[in-house]
Amino acid sequence: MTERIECRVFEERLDALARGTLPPDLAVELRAHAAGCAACRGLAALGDHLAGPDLATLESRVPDAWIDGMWDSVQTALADEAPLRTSRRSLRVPLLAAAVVALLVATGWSITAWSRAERRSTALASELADQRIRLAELEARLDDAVAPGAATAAGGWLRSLDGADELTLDGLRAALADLPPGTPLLSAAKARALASSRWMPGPWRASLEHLPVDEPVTAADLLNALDELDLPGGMPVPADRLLDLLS
Amino acid sequence: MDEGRLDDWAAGFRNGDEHGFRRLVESLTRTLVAVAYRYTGDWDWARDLTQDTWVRVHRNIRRYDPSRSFLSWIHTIHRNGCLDHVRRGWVRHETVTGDAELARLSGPAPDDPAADLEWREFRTRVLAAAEQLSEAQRQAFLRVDVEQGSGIDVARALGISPGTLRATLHHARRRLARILGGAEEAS
Repeated sequence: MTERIECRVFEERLDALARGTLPPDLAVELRAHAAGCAACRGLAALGDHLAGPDLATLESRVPDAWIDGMWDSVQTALADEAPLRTSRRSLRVPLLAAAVVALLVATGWSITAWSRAERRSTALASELADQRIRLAELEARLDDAVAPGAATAAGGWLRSLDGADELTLDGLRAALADLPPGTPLLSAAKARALASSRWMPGPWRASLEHLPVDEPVTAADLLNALDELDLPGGMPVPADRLLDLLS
Repeated sequence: MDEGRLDDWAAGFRNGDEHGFRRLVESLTRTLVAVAYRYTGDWDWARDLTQDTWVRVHRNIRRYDPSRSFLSWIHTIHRNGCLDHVRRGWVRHETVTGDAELARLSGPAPDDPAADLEWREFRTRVLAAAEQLSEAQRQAFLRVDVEQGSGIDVARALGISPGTLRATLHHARRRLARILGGAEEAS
């Protein structure tokens, strides 16, 4: 997408506009721009919605009693999840159990079915929590800027390009999105060579001009550069030439 | 916040030291409540979601890798819990009454319940729209714009440069605005 200069200025000032820290006349100018630009109007609405007290201010508002009380409430919640301890029977328990059995038999249920349902409910809740933890682990891997893992990911990605019969712009975006964002794919020198390559069409060259020049180009950088393109997603990408330049 | 100390407490808790867990709860609850408030706009939910996070941490501490940042691990768990809450439709499990601190924080009942509902609906749409971003853009948006993480810390956590983070945020915000604008036009 090609943006007018005014849009770039608008976005640069968006945080200040949402916080209300801009000079009034500049704020009026930017709001006037948003009134005439659907994209920036949407950005302004998003910024206004997300505006609010910063994290430090919010932290200062959290009552000390909540900090002190959180330990107790967590312990209570953990105790509520603990299974019944069969070693702690009282005289009341057998009598109550007998009454429950009579009631459940009378209603057509069995104690076994009830226990099975309870265990299944607990197991499902535990499985759901485990899945959330696995998801957290997968997301945590995105946090790792680990060179060996990144190099392996980059190598695998290049091999997948090599095997691609037909690569489209959307396919290239999807392939890049599969990589950890910090995966280095191009040296700065190679990025400059790519941008100046004679076979690179004009729009592509323009988008690649936004790549960093002093540090390796990562998967996130290439995705950002592709986002600058206003081309149909089904447009074919010459995978063999791309591979030559990336290898 | 000394992350090394947090990692030590977490490692100790993983080996059975409940004192480590308590120190973690006392050190991080304030931040977690504030982050949950950024997602929900409600102090009661923020407290409940934080309690849920601590229960999950306690139950799954064996899955924590001591060679990695505990702060990053717990923030991921907490973020997913907050997002699940919004996806489920802001369901409140129990009504808290008689909490003077909650009453003080929350203030009087909103004059305009419709505005309150509208805020929640828009927040739900924003977070749903974020699901359509690339993973890098989604993480940048959630960690910076929603959770108000520092750019330096978020860039380091994502393994990208601050410049790349700024560019990624630029594209994330633009794409979100287009998605939300398109949804409104279609409705």
